[in-house]
Amino acid sequence: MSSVQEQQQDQDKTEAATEQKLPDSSLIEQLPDNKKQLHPDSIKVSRISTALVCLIIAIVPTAIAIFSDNFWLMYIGLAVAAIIFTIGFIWAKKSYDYTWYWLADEGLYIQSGVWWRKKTLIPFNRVQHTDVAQGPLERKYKLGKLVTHTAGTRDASVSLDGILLDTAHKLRSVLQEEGESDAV
Amino acid sequence: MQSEVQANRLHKISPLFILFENIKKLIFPIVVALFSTRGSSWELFALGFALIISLGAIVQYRFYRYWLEGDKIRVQEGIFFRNVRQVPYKKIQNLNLVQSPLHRLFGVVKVQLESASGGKPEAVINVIDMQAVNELKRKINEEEEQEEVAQPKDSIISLSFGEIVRYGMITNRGIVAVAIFFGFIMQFMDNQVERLVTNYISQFTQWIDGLVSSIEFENGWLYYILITIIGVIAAIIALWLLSIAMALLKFHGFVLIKNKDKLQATMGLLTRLQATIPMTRIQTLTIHESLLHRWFKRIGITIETAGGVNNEQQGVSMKQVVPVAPNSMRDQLLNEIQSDVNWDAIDWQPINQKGWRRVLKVMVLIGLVITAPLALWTLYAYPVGFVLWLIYSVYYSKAYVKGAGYHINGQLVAFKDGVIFTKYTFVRLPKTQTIAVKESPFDRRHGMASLEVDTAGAMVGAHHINIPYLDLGVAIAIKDRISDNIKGTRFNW
Repeated sequence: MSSVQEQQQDQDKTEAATEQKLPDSSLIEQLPDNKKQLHPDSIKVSRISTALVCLIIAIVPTAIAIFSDNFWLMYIGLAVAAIIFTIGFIWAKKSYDYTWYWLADEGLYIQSGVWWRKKTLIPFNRVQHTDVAQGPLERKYKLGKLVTHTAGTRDASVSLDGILLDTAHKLRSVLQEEGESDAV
Repeated sequence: MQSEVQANRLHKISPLFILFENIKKLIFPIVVALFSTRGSSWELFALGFALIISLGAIVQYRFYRYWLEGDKIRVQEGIFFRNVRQVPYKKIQNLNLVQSPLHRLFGVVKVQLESASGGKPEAVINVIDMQAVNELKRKINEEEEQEEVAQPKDSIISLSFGEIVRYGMITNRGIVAVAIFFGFIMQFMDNQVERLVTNYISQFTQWIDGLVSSIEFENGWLYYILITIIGVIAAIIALWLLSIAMALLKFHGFVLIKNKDKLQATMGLLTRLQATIPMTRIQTLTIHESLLHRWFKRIGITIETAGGVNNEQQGVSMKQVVPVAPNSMRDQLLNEIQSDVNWDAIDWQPINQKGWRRVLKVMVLIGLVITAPLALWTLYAYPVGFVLWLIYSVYYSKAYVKGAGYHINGQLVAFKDGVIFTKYTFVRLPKTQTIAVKESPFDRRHGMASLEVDTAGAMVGAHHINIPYLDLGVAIAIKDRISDNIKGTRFNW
């Protein structure tokens, strides 16, 4: 019951994001109608993990400063942490806005990258195997990661990070089924 | 579990070769151990080492067994940690034979079987005699076709002495050897060695000096120019001699033959190598045509296979199917190596010619940095050097976009680029993996994009399908064309 509601909410959120206009003429304008965005909670996850990293960056120099009575180190540490957190905070949303995925007849498309953009096609019949993974933070938000492995080298594994775990499992089964039906 | 097939064992001389392999692997720790225990009882240590690894070799030999079963080869090794490995004949990508002079003395061969897994060879049989090799080969071939092995073999190309010399001069592999040598020397550089080296260098310059002044040139510009020219020529000749020697060592008696659907290359002066790969397993094919290639009217062809061995230190690899060949043989060779492709149908499509300005911008940035050290020499040298670089950059940029091109048809996708080192890469569509359209901020300003195709077994940094400076629409169209074509075709290694 609650999961249905949640999904409904996700749908709404996704649609709201879809209507948002993106500025420039590029790959991002060529997305099909069935495009999907990552789960909005992935922004939170990304921000929290940035915050954790920044916390460490801030704590270590502070501790050293307290013991050595040399406080300029602490100021630098705090400033660096603040800058990284600000960038990370903004980037989390940016990166979310520019990451899309969708299924087509030929395979799974993943569009990503804010400045250096990339649209990758993983043809169904090139999928060797798939992994679904989940970290502790992601577990809290029921998010997961789908990693698709191909026989290639540079793009041997393509990951889609920040979708609902359920969605990851569904995508995975679609990739498997399509891959097999293609074999003929 | 034990099958009815009789177990095969290694040749009786095997422990010797296993020992050599082990020594090769352990040589560094041994040397370190010897040096660090210098003065104390190092002989004892050495003896202990020798004893342990000799015993190890014999044990390895005793417990190594392989079975040639109906459809697969089973290899068993180890005592405490027993390792059984099964490689279906069908999955074998490459079959490589290595025979050093010592191997030849005993009439034995080292065999490497490669499947598509990464890293090292799937199975190494070290060593067996020719009879056993033939049996192994027969088994592997049998699996694919029931015919007997004794059939006519067409020689595609063999390299004469002259061709190998040309190969050496074109590729100049000697540079790598020289670099490694100097890197090695540097580590042992102390005052004494340094004095020795500088001594040799000054002796050499004095010799040239004497040579030049004997032809009566007093000091002045001409004199220095002449000395430089002689020095450069001497260096080039020395490098060429080294490169040619290395080429001979590797490619002496090179023969590439076509055995039904397999390519088999044999080569080597001291250590003979024989590599066999099924032609259908070729993932990408690259034609190399550098400036030197063009001067000699030659080309080189390399291939990438999905076999795990991607670097030559790990084992035998047959990347260089045709180390060097006359350019006039290009079509014939391509047809022999990949007969399922229609090589006549290739017409190159240009990339966006406006891209030359973008190449130029990059070149200017590079030039600003690399000509900067000239300012330390003379203030004027910097602008002069930079202007010269600029002129070259304009030529290079225009030549680059003019030379680069792509082709796509129902069978393959191809890409060529490079001004000095021109390369043509071909990938048959069934061998393509992921396809990516990429767009940098600079691409976006010009409405351009690049297209990259991933393949199995690609070496890092190797030339691959990565077409830059395409109009976005064109890039997407190429992607669609490829994806349409591979729909419904399963990837078959």
